[in-house]
Amino acid sequence: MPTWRMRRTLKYSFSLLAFLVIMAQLYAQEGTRVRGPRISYDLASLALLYFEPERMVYTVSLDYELKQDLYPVIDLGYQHVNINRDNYDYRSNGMFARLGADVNFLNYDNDPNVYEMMYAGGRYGVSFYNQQAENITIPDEYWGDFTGGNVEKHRMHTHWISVVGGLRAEVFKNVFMGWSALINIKLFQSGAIGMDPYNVPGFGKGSKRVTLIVNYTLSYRFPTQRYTPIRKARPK
Amino acid sequence: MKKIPLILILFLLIAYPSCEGGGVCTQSVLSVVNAGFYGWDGEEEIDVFVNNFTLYGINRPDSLIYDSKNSVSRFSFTMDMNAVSSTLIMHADSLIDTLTINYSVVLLMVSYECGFTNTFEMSGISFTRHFIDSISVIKTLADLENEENLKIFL
Repeated sequence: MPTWRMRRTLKYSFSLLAFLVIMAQLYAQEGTRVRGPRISYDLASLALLYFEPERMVYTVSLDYELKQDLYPVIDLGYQHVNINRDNYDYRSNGMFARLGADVNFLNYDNDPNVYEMMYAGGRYGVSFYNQQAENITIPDEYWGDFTGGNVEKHRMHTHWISVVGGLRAEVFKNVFMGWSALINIKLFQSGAIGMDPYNVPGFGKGSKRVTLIVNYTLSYRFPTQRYTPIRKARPK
Repeated sequence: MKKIPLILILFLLIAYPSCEGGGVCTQSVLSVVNAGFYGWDGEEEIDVFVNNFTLYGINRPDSLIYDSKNSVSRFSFTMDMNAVSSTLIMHADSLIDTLTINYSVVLLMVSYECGFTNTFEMSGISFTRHFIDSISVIKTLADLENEENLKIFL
């Protein structure tokens, strides 16, 4: 197992390498740009199968190149949590949506027909979910164990904002891969009964006010339109 | 095409960071009542230390919570989670008092590692007066905190 320091060093090294490769792509032939709705699937849920099998998340995103550097985006997802422990069972289901936009920082003055992205953006997120706990046992050697307790199923909702940053590369024509990191800041969470949510869909750990989520996305762009981007006047 | 291995390596190297839960529980999940013995010196309350202190649940003299302990000023005890009242027998030297606490039980999660606790919201208290003079309820909720619930004046 690589140490945390090794992982961090490798992560930064490859991020820098990715940045250099993306920059090299800028010097291609000049032309119009292709755009269209791009649908993405978050592959991080596959990692959950190994790291956190109690939780399953499915996230899809839809974005669109409104301008050469502006991408409105909506993320939609579903999460299911099923924890079975010796002293309780916990279940939670819910959906989430994040709505916002990404701004691409790479400049394509020399070739507009390049689609790599190094971007930052923002989201407003909302999640509606429920949770419940059953078969709660509390051991007490003196008075006797407490058994059969439960926390009734109750609905909750959480609102938050996210700051997003990431990289995305076109690995085949119209096929993209990339990763992004979301720093989520909770704005509001409806009252929990007896327990904080294990994990708020789309936000992260329910007891935290600020969370970090990393997405690894595989995307396909439907090439529905060609357009000539408007060049920005660059400061001299 | 050269970008494929790069992106795949990026995918493999950036570890998924939000793995959570599944840890080991290192704390008790039993809520307790924290109590202390006090007296008056004429102007203010003072700590009182009790010798030969024994505490057990009623009808449980064979299972002692405290057994003839000396110099006791602060003590704590659990209550029956499957009942709405608990009665405890207290010995201080050769004197015996009975303490009955009425309460409601409220389930509360401690953590996903530890599970749940039952907190006790105390609604009433009664006691005999062989060595106890009075009892002041400072905090009605008995939970996992180390805050004092009862001041027992001797």
